[in-house]
Amino acid sequence: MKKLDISRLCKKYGNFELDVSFSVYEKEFISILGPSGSGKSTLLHLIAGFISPDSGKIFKDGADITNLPANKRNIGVVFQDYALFPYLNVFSNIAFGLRVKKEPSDLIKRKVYEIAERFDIADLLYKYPDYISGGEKQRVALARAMVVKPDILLMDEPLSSLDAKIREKLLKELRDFHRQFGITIMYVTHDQTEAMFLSDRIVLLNNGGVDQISTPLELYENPKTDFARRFIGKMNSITVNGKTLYIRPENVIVRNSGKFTGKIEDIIYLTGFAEIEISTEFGRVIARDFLRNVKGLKKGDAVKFDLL
Amino acid sequence: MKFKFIAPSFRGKKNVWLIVSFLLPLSFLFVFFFYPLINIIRFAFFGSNGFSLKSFLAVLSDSYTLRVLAFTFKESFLSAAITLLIALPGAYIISHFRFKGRDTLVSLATIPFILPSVLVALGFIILFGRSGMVNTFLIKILHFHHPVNLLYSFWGIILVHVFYNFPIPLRIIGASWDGLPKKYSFAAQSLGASNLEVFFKVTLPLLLPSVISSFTLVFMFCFLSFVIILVIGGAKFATLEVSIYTYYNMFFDFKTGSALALIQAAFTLLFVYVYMKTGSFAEKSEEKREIYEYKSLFENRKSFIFSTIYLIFVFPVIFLPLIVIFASSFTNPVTSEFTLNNFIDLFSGKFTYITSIGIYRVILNSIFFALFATALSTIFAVMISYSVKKLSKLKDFLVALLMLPIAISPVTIAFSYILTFRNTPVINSWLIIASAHTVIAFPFALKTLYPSVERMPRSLVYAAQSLGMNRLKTFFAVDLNLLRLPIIVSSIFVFAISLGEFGATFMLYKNKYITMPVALYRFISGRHFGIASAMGAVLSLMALLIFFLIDKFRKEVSVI
Repeated sequence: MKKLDISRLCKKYGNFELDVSFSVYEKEFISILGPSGSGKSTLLHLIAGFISPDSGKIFKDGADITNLPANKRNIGVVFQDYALFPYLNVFSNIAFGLRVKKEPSDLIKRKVYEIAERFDIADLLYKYPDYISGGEKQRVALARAMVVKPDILLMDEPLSSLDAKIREKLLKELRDFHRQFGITIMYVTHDQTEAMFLSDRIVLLNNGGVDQISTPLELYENPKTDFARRFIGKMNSITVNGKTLYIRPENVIVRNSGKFTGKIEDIIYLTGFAEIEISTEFGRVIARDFLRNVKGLKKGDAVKFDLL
Repeated sequence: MKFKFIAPSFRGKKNVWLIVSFLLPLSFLFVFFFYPLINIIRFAFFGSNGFSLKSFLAVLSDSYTLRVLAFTFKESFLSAAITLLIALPGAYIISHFRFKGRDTLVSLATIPFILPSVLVALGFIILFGRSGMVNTFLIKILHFHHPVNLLYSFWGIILVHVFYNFPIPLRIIGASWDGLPKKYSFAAQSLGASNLEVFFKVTLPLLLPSVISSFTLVFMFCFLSFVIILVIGGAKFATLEVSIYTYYNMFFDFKTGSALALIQAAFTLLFVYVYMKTGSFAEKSEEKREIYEYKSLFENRKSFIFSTIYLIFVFPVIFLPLIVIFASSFTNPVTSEFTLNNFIDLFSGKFTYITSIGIYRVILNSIFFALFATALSTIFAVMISYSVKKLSKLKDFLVALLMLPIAISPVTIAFSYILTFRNTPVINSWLIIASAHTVIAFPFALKTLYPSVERMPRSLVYAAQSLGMNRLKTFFAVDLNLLRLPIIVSSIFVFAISLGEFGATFMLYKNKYITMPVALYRFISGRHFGIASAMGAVLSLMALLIFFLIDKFRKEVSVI
């Protein structure tokens, strides 16, 4: 069932123009992936209702919400840096939405404690946002957004300002959260790893337009445009007999029985694997293999390889 | 004794410059600030029988003191509160819209610092005084029988204070509002908050530090108000500042004066502390915003009408005193006809009996004191910034200590000079006024220059040294070039403060050293409004020139 329907949604800023259409399904985790300036944040702001579009429509559960003010949309948002109110403690941050709805205070208290229990932040309730860690902030932000039972949750690059180690942990938490709560999530990011890890589907955004919508695996294995090929991972483009082939580096296999020949120009050692630059009759080709398989190879060696 | 702590980190031959640049300003401040201040404490607490709280407590519980205190607080609170209310819409406008003249509105915040208060008083007298423009209009056109007293009252004082100070919260709150990350109001909206709820539950709490900080600053300015109360309040009203002057000037009562000065200093210290604390908090929230987030004033009708009305009302009001001073300087006070006589009278020396010295001499005095204070406070501020920068432990404490003159009122500083130097020839010399101006100006110079010196990229200095320059040459070739703009701005600002200084000069001057603001005060007291306007026009011109000069550099260096 369609949860959200975006139809020819347009917004212009100077030379930039956003113009997108796509649908989000019930309980889906959908990522909006794109480089900076591709219009991701604008799209999120439009759906949340913080800015209004020049034209186009937004439907939620079949109802037109294009002109509904943000506070009437029941769409939750988790922000970059989480935007926890610095002058309120964790309890009051989570209770904010309930208080705005003027729910009775004992009910508010019960709901806050309940959700805090679920997110494992019950012992933080009387701390202030400045005094909790990045991971704790994410859980508070999720609890604050979820306690008012939104129809959809929008997330705006929530992990972008955290360091790599904690990021990995929070990614897992986010995935578990989505599975547990079964809510529709739209996640904005410029990071392909995050999008790959989390999403049911990815909307690849380029320069204000939708480039491709597909599952992560499909997007990786079958990118439809040059932009998609360049943006997601690395890609060799090889022209044989006037036909262009696109081959991922891990599908270039260096082995003695290989059909093609070339010379190693450079080897770049990375964590766990290496990239081998080979000059061939059809130009430079990059192969990728585990470190253990690269042992013994060196610059200047002649090698044989296969293309899978 | 303090120096014992510091000396070790200055060891070494090379650091002889640092020691000099530390000791020189410090000894000046010791002689002309700290020691006189100690004398006030001595007078307040030590009698012929040694230490005693008795006389101090007597002053504190005296009904006159309590009345003065009550008035000072009431007047300051109302002035600051109303100022804030009037400034708030302006802060909203400058933080949400982009329009022509917006930058000018923002830079008007320097006006309360650089526009001499005696000029503001003059402007309001010309406008609302008994024979002022409004009353002339009422009598001649509307045929009123008697002039209406619009100015010489409690609310008259508040009116002038509000006018004088409202650009301060406008700027401070406006900047903080501008820097407020939008994500917070977005978050509140997404949780169901309406615009009104967003304002009260999110915007206002986030603006609170800047609201408190600007309220405190305005409150303190009104708390220390002197010439405006003298001119407009007359004998009926007295702030602490005025009563310190009165106790010295009329009763020659050093003990009571000292006690009052200490009570006042205790409060101003508290205000400065609150201002600095909340001020640094307010700065923290600043964030760069995307330009598209600003609206044009023409975007929707409601905001356009609201802003236009506000701006049409506010812009002329700020310049009103200056405009009426200029207008009045070319008007015959009796016939209301155009005339050049006010200026001719001023410069031909017709009124020298009021100023006791020629008008050119008065202008020269003012410029001389301002130049002296500017040069000395700027040089001292640079010296202190360099030497203090090297200290790791005592740095913050020392900077706070050296900023102390900002919390001591001009009249108190002058009063402490009288206590200290009254039996020496210094008290009758130009040096006493020049020193007072330097001490008053120094914290402003330090506040502008110290951050610049501290922030200066050391790599450039190292680069110059690695290219073979010695440190002294590097200072002139590299440091001074990097500091040029802050030094220029701070100098102009400090020059303006000295040029408009009234309280301390008024306490200390001898006829020979009369300055423009004091001369202006004498003209006003003698009710020679024509010539006062001419003199005011000259001073206004200087203040305007300074305002535009500072405005030119406003983007690069902030003075407040």
